[in-house]
Amino acid sequence: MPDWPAIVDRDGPAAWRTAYRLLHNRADADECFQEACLAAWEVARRGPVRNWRALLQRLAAARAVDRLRQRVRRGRLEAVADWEALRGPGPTPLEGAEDAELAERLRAALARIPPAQAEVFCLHCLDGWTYAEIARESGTSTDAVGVLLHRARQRLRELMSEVLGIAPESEPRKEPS
Amino acid sequence: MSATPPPVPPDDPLGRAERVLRRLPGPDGPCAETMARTLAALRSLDRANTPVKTRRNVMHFIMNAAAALLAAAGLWYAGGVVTSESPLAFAAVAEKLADAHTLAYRVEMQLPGVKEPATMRYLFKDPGLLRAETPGGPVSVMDIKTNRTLVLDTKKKSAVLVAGKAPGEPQGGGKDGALQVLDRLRRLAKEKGQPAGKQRIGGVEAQGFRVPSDGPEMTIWADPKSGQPLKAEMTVRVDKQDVRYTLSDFEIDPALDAALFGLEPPEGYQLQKLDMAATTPEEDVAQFLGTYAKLSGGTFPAKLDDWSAFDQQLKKKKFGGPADPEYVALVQLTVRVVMFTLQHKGGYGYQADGVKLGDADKVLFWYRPERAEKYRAVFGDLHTGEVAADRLPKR
Repeated sequence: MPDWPAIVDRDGPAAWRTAYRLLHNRADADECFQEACLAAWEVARRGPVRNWRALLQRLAAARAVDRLRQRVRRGRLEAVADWEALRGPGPTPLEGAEDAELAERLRAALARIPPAQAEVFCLHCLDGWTYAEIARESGTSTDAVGVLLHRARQRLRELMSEVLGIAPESEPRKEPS
Repeated sequence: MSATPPPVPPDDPLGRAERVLRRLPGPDGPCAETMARTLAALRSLDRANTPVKTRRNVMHFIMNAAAALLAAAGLWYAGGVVTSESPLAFAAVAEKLADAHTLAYRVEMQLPGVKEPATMRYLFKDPGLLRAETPGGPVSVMDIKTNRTLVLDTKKKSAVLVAGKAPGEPQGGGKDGALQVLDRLRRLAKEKGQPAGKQRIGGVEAQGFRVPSDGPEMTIWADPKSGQPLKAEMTVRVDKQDVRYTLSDFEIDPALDAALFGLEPPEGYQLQKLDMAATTPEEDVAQFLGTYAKLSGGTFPAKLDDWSAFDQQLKKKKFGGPADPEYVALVQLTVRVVMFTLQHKGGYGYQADGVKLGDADKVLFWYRPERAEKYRAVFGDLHTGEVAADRLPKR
C-alpha cells in the first residue's frame, strides 16, 4: 500500500500549485488537489506508480482545466480571482492589473481549447515539463506532444488576439482532433 | 520535472500571460486542513478496498426523488463465470467493467400495482461521482468522497445542496454504496455465476449468466462477441412486494463531461444549502419515528420497516417539490433507516406494543453496534441511550 502521508507531503504541493496557477482560487485548487489524489489512488490500484509527483501534477492539471471549462460555461470567469495573492513587491499597480487581466484571458482561452491541448500547454509552459517528460507520463510520443502544443499555442494566440483586438496570425485554423 | 521554462517572445501577449501565470505569487501548497482531509479520504479508500463479503444493497423507492437520491446505494450487482458455452463472453464483460472509469446505464423499476415502471438514467465517474436523471423530473448529483449531493428540480428551477452522509452509507463509517458497486464491478472476474441460456436483445443473441448472492439473484445478459453487457434483471422483495429492476443501455467508459457531475446548479436556479449532521442509527430511527408520530397523532408504526404505513402518513404532509430542503432531508433520513433495516435484518429489535409517545422508560427500538457490549436504544419519548440486555423487551 502506498505511503500516502509521505507522497502527499512530498509531492502534493507541486500538484496543488499546478491547480492554483490555473484556477487562482484556493478552494477550487483544494478540490482539484483532492480529486487528483483520489484519482492517483485509482491509478495505484492498477499497478506501481513510477513518479508520484508527475502523476499528481498531470491529474491536477486535467481537473483544473475541467473546472476552468465549467466556469466559462457558466459565464463566471471574472469572479474568482484571489487578488490578495497579487500584492507585494513586483510590478506597479497598473502593471499588476494588466498582468492579472492577461492571466485571466489566458485562463479563459485555455478553457476553450481541447482539454488535451490545454493540459499539455499547462505542463510544458507553466510547469516546465519537457516534451519527453510529458510524453512518458501520458504514454504518447514527443512528436504527438509537439503537435498538441503547437496547436494549443496557435489557438490560444487567436483567442487572446480576438479579445485584445490584435489581428491574428494569418494561418489556417484547423480544429484539432 | 525540468525546471527550465521554455523561451518566450518578449512582446507576445500569450508569452507575457504565461510568464504571469508561471510567476504567480501564492501559497506554497494546500493548507494543513486540506492535506488532512485528503489523507483521511485516501485512508478511507484503502480501508474500504479490503475484501468484504457481498452485501445486499436494496433500495425501496418511496418517492420519485428518493429514487434519484438512492441511485448511489447499490442498484447494480454483477458477477459471472466463464462457461463452457461461451468461455470469453463474461471474461470480456469483467475486464471492461474492471477498468471502467465511467459507466452509464438505464434502470426501470416496476412496482406491483403500478402501471408504468419508473425509469432513470445513472452515470458514474471515478472517483466517487454519481448522477441520477429522471426523465422530466429531478436530477441528483452526488460526490461520495465529500458527502455532498445536489438535487435539481428542473421544473421549478430550484436546487438543494446537501452536505452530509450520502444515502446508502453504512453506519460506522464503512464503504459507501456507490463505491461498493463500482468495486464489485471491478472484481467481477472473481465472482461466480451460472449459465442462464440465451436471449435475443436488440438483434443480438445475448448470453445469460445467473449470479446468486446473499441478496437478490441477478441475471445478466451480454453480447458474446464484444462482452458488452446488454441487460441485467433482478427482483427484490421489499415490504412483501416484489420490485423488479431492469438495467439496460449500458455504456462503458463513455466520455462524460465533468460538468455533469458539478455540484453547482445551472444558471438561473435558486440554491438552498442543507447540512446533514452526522447521525447514529438510533438517532435516525428516533427522528424517523418522531416524524411518524407527529403525523399520526402520537402513535408508532406496528413495524419499523412498514414503509407503506409511513407512506400513508407522509401523504398528509405538503412539500414544495423534490428540491424542498425539508423533503430532501426526509428522503435522506428515510433512506438511511431503510438501509439500516435491510442491512441489519434480524439484528435489531422493535417493539411498539404498549409504547406511547412520551414513555421515557419504555424501549421502542434497539440494536447492538459492532464490537459494542451494550445495546443502543430509542425510548418511547424518543430519547436515545444505552441499555443493558436484561432490560430489552421480548421480541
